Amino acid sequence: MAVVRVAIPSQGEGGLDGVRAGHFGHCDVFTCIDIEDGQIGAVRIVANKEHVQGGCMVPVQLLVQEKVNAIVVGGIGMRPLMGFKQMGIAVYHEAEQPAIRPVVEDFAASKLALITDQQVCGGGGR
Amino acid sequence: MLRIVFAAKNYSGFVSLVDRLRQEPKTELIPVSSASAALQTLAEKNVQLLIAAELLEDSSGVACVRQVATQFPLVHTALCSALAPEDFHEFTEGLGVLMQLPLQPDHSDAEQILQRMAHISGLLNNTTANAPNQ
Repeated sequence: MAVVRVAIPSQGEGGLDGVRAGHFGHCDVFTCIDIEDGQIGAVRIVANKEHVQGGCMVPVQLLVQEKVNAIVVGGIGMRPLMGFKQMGIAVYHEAEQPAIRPVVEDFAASKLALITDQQVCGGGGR
Repeated sequence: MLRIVFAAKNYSGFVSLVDRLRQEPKTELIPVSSASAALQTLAEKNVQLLIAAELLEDSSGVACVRQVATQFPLVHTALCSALAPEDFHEFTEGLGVLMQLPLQPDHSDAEQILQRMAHISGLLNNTTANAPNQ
């Protein structure tokens, strides 16, 4: 079975026992985990780039380079969501659990759902 | 080559901005008057930036930016708006707008646009250059 590499936006140093970041663009690092046959495999920490206004495609491109297949977010804007979709990275939504490990376990067990357009961050202009 | 689509219903207030952008080497400015024409251009050409006035012939600037964020998320956007910065941030949240411009932006705004585009381009290139071999 193919390995699925999932990225979790994380605070601080990240890692399986770390804490998630609430918004992917502002995270310190991405904890990238390989999942194979529902099992957690290799873990790799990828430092995020500087966050600049309008630069939300920078982390998208970074994760493309890291050959990530999926990302689990608590929040994301429309533009980066569409960017991930165009790049072939599936975006899942989980906004309840702050710890990384249970979210990865839920992902590995196929318990998480893809984000919907109604769950993206958007202001009064929508 | 930096290719910019500039969308405005009326160009009379944009002479200073347009003149500065046209002076920039390796930069092509494509003027259009409607959101539909802007989207058509983005579909046909490799465009890096859309600058939208507050009003276009067929829609508002923010509606155009929203369509671009949805259909062409890799294209950066700048939007003219009279809103206060915090209101603009709320109004455009999630659209990843590069910068808010005044209703009549001038050459200094053009300079800022070019600087921000260069900065983001540098981050993207750095990302590519640091990609691990797998």
